[in-house]
Amino acid sequence: MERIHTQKLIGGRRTAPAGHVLIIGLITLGLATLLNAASLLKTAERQPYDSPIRGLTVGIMKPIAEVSDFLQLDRPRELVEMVVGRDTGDEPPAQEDEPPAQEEDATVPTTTTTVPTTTTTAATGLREITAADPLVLYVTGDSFVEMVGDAFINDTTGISVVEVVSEDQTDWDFFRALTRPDSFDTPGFWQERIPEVEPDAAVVFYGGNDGQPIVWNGEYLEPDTEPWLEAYGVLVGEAMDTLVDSGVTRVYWMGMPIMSDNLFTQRVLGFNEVYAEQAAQRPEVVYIDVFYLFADENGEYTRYLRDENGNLVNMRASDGNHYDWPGAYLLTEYVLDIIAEEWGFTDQF
Amino acid sequence: MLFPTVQFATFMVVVFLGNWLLMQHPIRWRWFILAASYFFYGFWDWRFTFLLAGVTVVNQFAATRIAAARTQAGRRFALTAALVASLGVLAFFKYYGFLVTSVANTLNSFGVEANLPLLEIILPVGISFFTFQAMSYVIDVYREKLAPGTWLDVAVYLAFFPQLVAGPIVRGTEFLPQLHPPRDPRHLDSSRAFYLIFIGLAKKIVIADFIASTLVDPVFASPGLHNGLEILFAVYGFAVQIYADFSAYSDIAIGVALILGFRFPENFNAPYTATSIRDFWRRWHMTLSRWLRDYLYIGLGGSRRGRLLTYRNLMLTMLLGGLWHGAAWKFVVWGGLHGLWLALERAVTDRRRDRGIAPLPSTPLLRALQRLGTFHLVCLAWVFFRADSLSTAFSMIGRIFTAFEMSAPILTPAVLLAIAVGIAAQYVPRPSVEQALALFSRLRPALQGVALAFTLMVIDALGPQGVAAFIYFQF
Repeated sequence: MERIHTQKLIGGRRTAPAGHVLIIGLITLGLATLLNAASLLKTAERQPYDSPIRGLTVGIMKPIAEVSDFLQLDRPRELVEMVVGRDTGDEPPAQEDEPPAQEEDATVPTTTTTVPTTTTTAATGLREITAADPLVLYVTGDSFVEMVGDAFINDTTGISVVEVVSEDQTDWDFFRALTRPDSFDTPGFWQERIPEVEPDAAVVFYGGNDGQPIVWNGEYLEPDTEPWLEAYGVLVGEAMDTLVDSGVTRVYWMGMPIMSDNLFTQRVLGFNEVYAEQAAQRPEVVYIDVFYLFADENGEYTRYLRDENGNLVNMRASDGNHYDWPGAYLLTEYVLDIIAEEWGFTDQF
Repeated sequence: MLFPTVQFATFMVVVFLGNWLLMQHPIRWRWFILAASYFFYGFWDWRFTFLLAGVTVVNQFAATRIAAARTQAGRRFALTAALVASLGVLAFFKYYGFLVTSVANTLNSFGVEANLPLLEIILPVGISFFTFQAMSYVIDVYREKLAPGTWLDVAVYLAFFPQLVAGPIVRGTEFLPQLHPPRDPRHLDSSRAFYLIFIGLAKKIVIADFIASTLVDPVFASPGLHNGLEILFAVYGFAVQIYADFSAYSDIAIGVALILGFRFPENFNAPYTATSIRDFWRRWHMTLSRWLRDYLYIGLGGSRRGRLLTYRNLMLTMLLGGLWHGAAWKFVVWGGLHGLWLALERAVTDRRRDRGIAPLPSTPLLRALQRLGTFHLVCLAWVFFRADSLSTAFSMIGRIFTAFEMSAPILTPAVLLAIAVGIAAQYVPRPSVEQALALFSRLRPALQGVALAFTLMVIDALGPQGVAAFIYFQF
């Protein structure tokens, strides 16, 4: 106590020696880690399997989460979340050392080197849409939905026979990847969500985060390899089937655009082949290729394209890959043309 | 590396230890902090550390040339060269695309299709901040307000990680003198530092990100789907969001610097309590306002050359201040509106003075009306700042009046509470905060740690999953 009394005052506040500040900081971080252990473990587990710090952080956080659970130190956070009525969707800490391995499908599709093109299967069996009973279009996926979802909503406001559903960060989110069902179970989510939305058609964007190793029958498959592409094809096929089995009449599976980075561009070409191939096997699924929609006249990447007035417009977000508003609208209009053709509302534009 | 992350917390523990263990070894301390700062900056993209180093070398070289020059012409040449280099870097990385597309589109409107070279340029995080600091340093040396520092000191000053990517814009005259006496490890103003860091985290995670994701982003993305009342509250929401977001970064930066023994200037002082636009700019992004005033407005002549030129200077300063925020016409309009209001306020004051009209007595009612008016003028300008285009901004303003309805499903009680807290918090008297901090500082270290840990838990539990980047990183 005596030592405290000798401390200097600044504006009525007692100063503290660096050692005390370090102790305060360590207690804060240590206790906060215990109080937030379940959430931190989930964050650690979301990192790509090949991330050098994933193993370390999961290895550290798993026992801490168990201690926190044993000491019931996770209860205050649960209480706070309950009080504010928050459903984080957090699950209990994973018990396994590795994420659950995928069940390998009996019929693994093989990839080919065909150039992706938009698959426009003739529309058959689509119901008639009216203003009273409009086409419910569900836009879902990863970060590439950002802005695009809103562009769909905005572009269809004057179209009485279409209603778009794409709730911000409910039906899409930045971290979603088909290759990481342990982080976010997309098919499981759709199985719950589709009966709520009851869409006739879905526009699906995936691929932004999919370039991660896949755990397949306990084996790590590196992206861009033949086994990885085969496994990815199974995951994409399962996702398509989930939508169709849940009652979606038409699935518009979006290809990835050309990217600013050559390696990423090569990767998305592989993705697009997988999408085209899987779509071709399912009459309810249409693959929409937009790779060259965002390329210049030489087929090269460009951030800027000319609009209908001949003005140069920036299409891509600051990372060079995601869509900025003009890019989102360019894409949306392109896709809506295809959808309008199929569902017969071209006269509403 | 974002402040509200586990990576930064880990980084900070290491830096804190190194900072105080090496305090008695000034040279080693400088190299340690420099390395830590470059690591922090390189965490985004290591290639841009060379840009930071380049800006440092060029400006320090110019500063030493200015100090060594025997003639005024030589001094001016070195200053001009440094400013051209700094502005050139800024123009290339930040404004190249904007300039080229603006020229091409202007030519296109005259029927000329110009194929100007378009480059794929990534905007380095914080470039506007560290180039402005570098320019202030060289100008202060030129104006003989500051002697050139050593190469190592200036490198530490320009790279010092707390303020590197989003301010406050700390001047050499404020930072460099703090490098000389070793900071005293026995007397850290830790309660204030912790307060700033935690209030910053709360503002960013609980207020800013929540309002953005639940109100501002959806309404600004699809204003046509929202009625006037929703748009009006989305504008209020954005006013709170941008304040909470940006002042959060400043608070954390100032707190982190304080815990390392450095005092940074204040950057925000309850801006929505301002009673005029002039008052607002004394409270909002204060270090940028000072920079613009001292290095641009006064450089243009300030108020010394007659009234019309004063109004012109105010307008030019704010137009360029707007452009500093981003390479888009909407930012120019935002700056232009503030310039216009500043000039109008000035003109009214001048006119009243000419006519010998005494200032209005400052009553609570008048102050409340002035605050309300100022807040709404600021909000009007925020519409242009936040909307994706000028046409969207005009459309939103129009809808506030033409599509007004007394129902607003998007306005949940939680959103309204967040907006109300964001505004009301600015009216909390400072002495109350100081008293609370004084009480906190008297707690034993273990109790302080427990209190802070529970605060951190609540902040994290109330925030959305993941943390959005700070708005001002893009500037």
